[in-house]
Amino acid sequence: MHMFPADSDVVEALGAQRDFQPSDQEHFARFSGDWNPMHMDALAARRTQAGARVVHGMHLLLWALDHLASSNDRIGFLTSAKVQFPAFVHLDRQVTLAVVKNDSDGMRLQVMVDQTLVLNATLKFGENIDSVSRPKVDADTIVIGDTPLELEFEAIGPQAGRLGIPEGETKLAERLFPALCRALGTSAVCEMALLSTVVGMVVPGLHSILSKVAITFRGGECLLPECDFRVSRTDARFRQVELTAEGARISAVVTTFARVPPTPAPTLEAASALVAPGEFRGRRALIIGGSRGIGAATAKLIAAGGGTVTLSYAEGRAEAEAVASDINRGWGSSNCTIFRYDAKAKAEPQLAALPSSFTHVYYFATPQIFGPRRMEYSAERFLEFVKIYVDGFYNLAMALVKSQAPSSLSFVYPSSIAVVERPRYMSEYSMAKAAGEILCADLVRNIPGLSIDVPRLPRIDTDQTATVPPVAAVSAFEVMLPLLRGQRN
Amino acid sequence: MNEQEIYEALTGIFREVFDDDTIVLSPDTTAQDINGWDSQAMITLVVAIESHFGITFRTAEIEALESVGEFAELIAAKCKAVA
Repeated sequence: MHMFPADSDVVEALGAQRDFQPSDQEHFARFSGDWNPMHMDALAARRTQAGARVVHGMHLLLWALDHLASSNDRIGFLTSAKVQFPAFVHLDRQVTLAVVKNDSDGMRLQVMVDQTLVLNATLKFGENIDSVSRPKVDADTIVIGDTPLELEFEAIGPQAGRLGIPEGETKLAERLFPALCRALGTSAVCEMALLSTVVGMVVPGLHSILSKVAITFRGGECLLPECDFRVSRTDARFRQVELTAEGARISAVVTTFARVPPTPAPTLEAASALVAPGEFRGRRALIIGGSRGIGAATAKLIAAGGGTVTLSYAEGRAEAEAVASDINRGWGSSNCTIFRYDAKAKAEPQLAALPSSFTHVYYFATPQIFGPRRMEYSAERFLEFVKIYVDGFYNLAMALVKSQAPSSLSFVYPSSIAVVERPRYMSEYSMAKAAGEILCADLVRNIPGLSIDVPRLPRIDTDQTATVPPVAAVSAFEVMLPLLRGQRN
Repeated sequence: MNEQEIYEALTGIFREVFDDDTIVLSPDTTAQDINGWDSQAMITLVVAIESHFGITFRTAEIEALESVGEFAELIAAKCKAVA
């Protein structure tokens, strides 16, 4: 039997680093059963507030503990872990593990991405606690596939059930987290992974975010890993959901959020109810970034008013096709065409194949707006915004001005109220939009006949602005229709 | 419950939520002063405060809170109403 190590024997594990690749996600999903698309599907994840695939929080925790266990006997005496996941970890980003406190009270781990805290864990140790029988829970075993449940918030409250790890997959635990399985037992590791599966696949399920876990470890013989769970509290104000979970080797309280589902795409039918027939007849619109959100809404409004639309997508081809299909079905003709456009690449070759000249150009190209929230400033992030909001718009505008008379073109460059309101942790975004405003003013001053509207848009209800807790935002139609009406036809 | 008792309780809650035993609160303390006090931490704070004091905040009340002093005043008013 291991002896509980004295403080002086504890090895500080500092500076462990790694990144997570799609294959890592696949392995963890196979082992745990958590196939939530936020982790596995690039296109679906793009429509969440994470903006791209993110690492499973429990995967991050198990990696951190496994790394510590490989060099530190103390992990074998873990009695409890309180863990917070304050920010998402995207794939390919380097994470760094540090032990920031280590004394007789316990240990505190932090995992960082750049200067952003993404995991904070407080660990307590002691002589192995006696085996305590798992409380009996009257729960049905749930067989999960690879599609998470999608529950209305009101339906979450009564949820309860039991999940298990398929027998063969426990071996995968020993391959993925060998040191931790030796230290805590394979059952405990499997049951920790099952917490991820409960949250990501069952409740809250599809639209979930793991926020915190508080785990107490039980001793005892190695049993078949299982996890009984029950929703213990919901709070509709914040869409917060708390679960209790009981396994053979762990007991846990899990705090999660039920994300607001992605904003439904605005329909041509809804746009037609707002726009007079023929209101935008003769308008030949080029919409850069039109596959979703405000770009898609603008396309629908112009099409509803009798204009023709050419819209671009960067990654969401299927979404762009859905926008075009809705418009063309409504009109019974090809009023909308789509093409791929990369705002960071040269504009002219990408525009060369387009069929006609344009009267109006709308520039909604954007990277993910809401990023890590612990950094006051990141030059890398600022440059990412500048490439699209400044360089990308300049390249597009100059390419179009070369191919047709400036006086025949009317641009909309969407700026933001962030330029004046300056929300915290959005310095880079606000600065890049301010730079875009200056560029537009100078282009208008230097190119006779050129017209660029530069509205400072409020927070608009799109996938990009959907947050936990929900923040008030206005509809894209409400914002764009007066703008479109104010433009020359 | 007097102001001192409220601040003592709040200090304990803040230290627990942010896992930081060095936190010292004053009426002027805001989210700018405490590392990690973002929207999700605010929810954790609110839920812990409600549970501790046996009160409930409305969403509009939470949105208007900008400092610990405002928190303390609202808690005092709610506790008085409950008593």
